[in-house]
Amino acid sequence: MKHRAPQEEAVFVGEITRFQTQLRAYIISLMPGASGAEDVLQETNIVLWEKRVKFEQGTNFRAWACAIARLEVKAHRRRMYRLGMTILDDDLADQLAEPMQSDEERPEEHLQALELCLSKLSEPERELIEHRYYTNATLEEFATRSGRSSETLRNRLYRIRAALRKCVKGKLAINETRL
Amino acid sequence: MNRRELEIRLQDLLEGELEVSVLDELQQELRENPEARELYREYVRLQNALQIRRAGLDLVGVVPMDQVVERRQRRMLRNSGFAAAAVLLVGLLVMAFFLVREQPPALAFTTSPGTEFVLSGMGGEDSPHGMVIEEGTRLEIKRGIVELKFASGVRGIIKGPADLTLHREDLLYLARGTGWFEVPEEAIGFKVKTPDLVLTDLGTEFGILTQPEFLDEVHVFKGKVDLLNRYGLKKQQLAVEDEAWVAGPAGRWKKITLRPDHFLKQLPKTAPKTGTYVFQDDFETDTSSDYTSIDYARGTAIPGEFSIDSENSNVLEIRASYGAQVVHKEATLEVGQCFKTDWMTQVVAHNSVKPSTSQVLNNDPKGVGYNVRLRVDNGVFEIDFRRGSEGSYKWFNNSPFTAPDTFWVERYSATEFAWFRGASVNERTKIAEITFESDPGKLFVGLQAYKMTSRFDNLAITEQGESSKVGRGDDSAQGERDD
Repeated sequence: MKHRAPQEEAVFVGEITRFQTQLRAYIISLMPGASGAEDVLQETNIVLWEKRVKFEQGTNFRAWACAIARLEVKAHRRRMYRLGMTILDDDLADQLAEPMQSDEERPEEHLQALELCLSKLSEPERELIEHRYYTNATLEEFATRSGRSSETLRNRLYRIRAALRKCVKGKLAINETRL
Repeated sequence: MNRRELEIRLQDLLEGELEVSVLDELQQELRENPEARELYREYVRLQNALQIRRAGLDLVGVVPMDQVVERRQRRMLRNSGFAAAAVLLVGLLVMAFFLVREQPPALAFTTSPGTEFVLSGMGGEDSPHGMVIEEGTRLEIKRGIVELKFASGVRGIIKGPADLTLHREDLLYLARGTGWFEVPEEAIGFKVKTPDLVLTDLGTEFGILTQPEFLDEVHVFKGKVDLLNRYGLKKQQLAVEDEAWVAGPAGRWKKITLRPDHFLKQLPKTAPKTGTYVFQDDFETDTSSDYTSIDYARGTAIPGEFSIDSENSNVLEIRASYGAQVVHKEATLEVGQCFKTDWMTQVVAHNSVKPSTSQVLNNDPKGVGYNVRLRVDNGVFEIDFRRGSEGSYKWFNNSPFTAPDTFWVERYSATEFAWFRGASVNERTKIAEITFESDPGKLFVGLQAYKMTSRFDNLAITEQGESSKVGRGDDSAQGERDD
């Protein structure tokens, strides 16, 4: 097996690490709504690591990593398809995901902006988001606990996500102006 | 589609809750409207950030990035029957393995003799508890059986082929395999995740079956577990003692028959019998007019009626839009031998009359049809004689088939055979005994799929030792059970 010098491996690990958040978003954009995104990301990381000797330093790591992730998603999509799940057409998924590879993506800023935007939510709103994204319990359970109907909570979630999206976009625009 | 509708549908899409009926309309909007595409991406970024924010929970546990290098340091292929393991060390930071461990390992494992496995990531050292697995480590079991012992007291028996990764000390990811777990009270909350479901233990003993392209099953033997379907409607289900559930593709749960015989609760102490053939790529196809004739090419899709893929180790998949039969060109079933097959088939969807899967015995691998076969026809067992063969059979236990199951056909004498089902020699139950009217001679083993995809695993002919005589010795007891 061909080996690289330790410093080259460290550079490679740095590339993988820095690119995780964006790579994950790219994978989600190819398979929206499917719950295996984290598994695909893990598989992609393993393939990247195993193929590291084939990667030429100085070439476009993003494009290479995304191409590998795309193949992993395709394998996953075949399974989803066989199980009769809702999936986007291949060509449309590619078209939607393509800009997500760009080096203009700023995933870390997204995370920071999201923190600020979450802090602007009311306490019940934040609780609802935390319930939805940070527990495995169903909306129905939360509804029972909070004394609201699931339908009300579902509509509230739509509104909160729309507000968060708008807020994050606004924060990023401000950052851009500062640059 | 107005803006509000668009936002709601994009959110539904990303949450996996979009109604199928509006998918086409949404796709058309996305194709035609660049603003809709940008809005989609904004929601993707938001979804990603919300999920990543769950630091310290499952998602980050999947990819501890500071450990990426360390994880992949060592790939080990080891046959536990040999003291000397083949160890490949890759790259740097090997010192990480020699850190003194003060606490018991999160997970240790031992294997049955003859087990083959690959360990990727941290761990692998021998400890008083067995071989150690660290968080993030993946264990692929090529064949054989592994016992897992968690520091929390959870015990598990995993049958290969299997693929598992320890995500967290209380969260095991089982990508593939058949696992049985016993969870003590102090470890309540232990989770097993598969590609299809998340299971949270509420104090119990349960089994999980997960195979690529088949729906996952959970069987509860004691206590109760909480189940969450990871797809579609993401329905939650409480499963209690003596219940079994299958994770439906739309995200719902469906009750199925409890099958304790799928699972092992103890590590076998003996290796598989010597003289076992594992079939991988030397099947001959049937050339009869009933079935399409093909030249078998390994792992290649064959135009026309069916194809065979045995790229995965000792797994044979027959994708048959009509009928397909493969017969091993060399393996014959002699007196005292047993042909064993794990039928991984599960009818996810079928649209034609009587799709079936069969284990067949044939006196000529290049000839027509079969001499006798055990067929599962929409969950019901049938036995057929053909090619001028005549004979009789007697049922002992032909209760409905629930995939996957393990089947055995054993030859007692020139004319006497028996079919069994059950995970191991000791657990197997006789399905039927058959007797040919005259000696059919040399019989080759084979498999059939008719109008469905059938998957066969762990194909083997085994020389039967003393233990296998159990099958014949307690005929009466087994016969009374369901006859």
